[in-house]
Amino acid sequence: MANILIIDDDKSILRLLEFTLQRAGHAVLTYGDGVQGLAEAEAKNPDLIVVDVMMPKMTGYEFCRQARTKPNLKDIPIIMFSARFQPVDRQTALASGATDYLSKTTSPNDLLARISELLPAQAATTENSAIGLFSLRGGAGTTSLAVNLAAAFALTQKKPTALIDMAKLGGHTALMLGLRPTSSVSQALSTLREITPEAIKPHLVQHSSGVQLLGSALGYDHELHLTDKRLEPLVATIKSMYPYTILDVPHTLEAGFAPTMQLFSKILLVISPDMPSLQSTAIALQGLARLGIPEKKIELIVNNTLPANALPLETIQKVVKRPIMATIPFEPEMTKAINSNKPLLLLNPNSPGAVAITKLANQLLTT
Amino acid sequence: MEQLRPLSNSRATVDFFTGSYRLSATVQTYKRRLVDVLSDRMTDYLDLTDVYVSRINKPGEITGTYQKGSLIKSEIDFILLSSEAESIPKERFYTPNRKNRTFFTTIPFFEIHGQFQWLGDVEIKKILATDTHQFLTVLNGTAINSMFPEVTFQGPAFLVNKSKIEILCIGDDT
Repeated sequence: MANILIIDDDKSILRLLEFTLQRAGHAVLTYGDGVQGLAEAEAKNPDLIVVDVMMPKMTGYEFCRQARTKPNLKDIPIIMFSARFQPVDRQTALASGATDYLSKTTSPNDLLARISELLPAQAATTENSAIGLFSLRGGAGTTSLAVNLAAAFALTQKKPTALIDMAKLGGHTALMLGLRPTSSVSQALSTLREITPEAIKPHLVQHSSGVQLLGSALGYDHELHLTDKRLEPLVATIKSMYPYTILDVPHTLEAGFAPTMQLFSKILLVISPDMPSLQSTAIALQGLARLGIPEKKIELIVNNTLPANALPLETIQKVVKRPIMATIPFEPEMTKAINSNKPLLLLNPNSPGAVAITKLANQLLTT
Repeated sequence: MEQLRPLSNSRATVDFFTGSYRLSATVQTYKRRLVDVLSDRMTDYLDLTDVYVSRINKPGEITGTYQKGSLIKSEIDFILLSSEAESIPKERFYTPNRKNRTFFTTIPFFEIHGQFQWLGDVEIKKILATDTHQFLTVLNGTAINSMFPEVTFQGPAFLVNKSKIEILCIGDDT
């Protein structure tokens, strides 16, 4: 159940939406104009806002622009709902700060479905989660997915989220976030006398999204050894400090790494839709089984890193003989994001790739 | 025979286009279809409420909002509807089996592509006759501004002012 605020000068639309959303179990507040709606939104801090465009005192565009200047409203999902249904209207709405734009010809059920997708998912458990992203082969986009997934958790749940770069050397999470950490996993392991939250904290660096990064070493002097016995307690302590910990796991399965992997709540096995990745995935599944990782912890994610000629989903499922949890579409802006040292979720949160990753984060919260 | 669509509302919210403006407004239809209201020769204007004005080069931005307005019918270039229903004149329900044809026209500052329904052989003179209806219905249409080609509008139905038509081209059955 969520608190939803609806603003529309048309009373019949207000009544219809109020009825539809209340029937779905949400608490609904309705207002007939943008000025009052903005004041009430700031005071009541709803979980989501549905706002009409064409209103006399304040248009929906102006409402959005002003809402995004308020600290407690800048990240709330705002759906603009309008009788204007042209592509240019959608562009104007998104440019003004709306999260999505739907025409008033949209059925109430479709509106409800979109609202459900945008609402931050209620976490299924209060236990802290550690999610490892892994592929046996490089080039599947695992690191960019890990970075953006961490950003998605931090931005939707509005809680600090840890991101641990487990690359032995030269990991790219810091680069993708535009951060310059002064420490790394291996440096933390070598300098910490006691593995406690207070001692670990200074080794993490904060990103504007709320992600706290423990990066990877950039010099051979500090190469990480995955069989280091202190690695498991380090990861366990970080997991206890944050509701969500995302780990970018290196492309290797060593027996000594098994105790650390056992700490993961979920392992997302990332596949790019090509034959070599498929072969590596089949081998990875065998390897994870050998390390004693329970099958139910492993989820498959297809990350479309190719613009064309990708293997069909059915072929992938046939080979791996497992369901695919999520498919991330090919995202032309991902390279731009990486080269801009920004997560895609901040560069273009409305891009199809960012939307898919946010959806994946919501799915993980409820499983 | 097509079902006569129920007219439960006495208002329709549509986009009107004049040479330089997009006007989103609610028009009183008095429980008739908009196309029939437009053809009513008893009045030269439409009563509008909740008028939102956008300039054609930035059609997404609202530059003015007004509670009431009057729009001179003869100054309307075309109208964009969100559903086909408002574009079907009463008598068309009694003439089924019309064929879809490709349609192209230019009016000042716009070209419009779409589909056009007509019964029998196409006679441009009859299509352009304004005796019965001043506005022509174009289905599944796209309007492109000739000065700003990136400005386009699409919709299930357009009503095009016949007196603004510069050239009209009808193609074969689709």
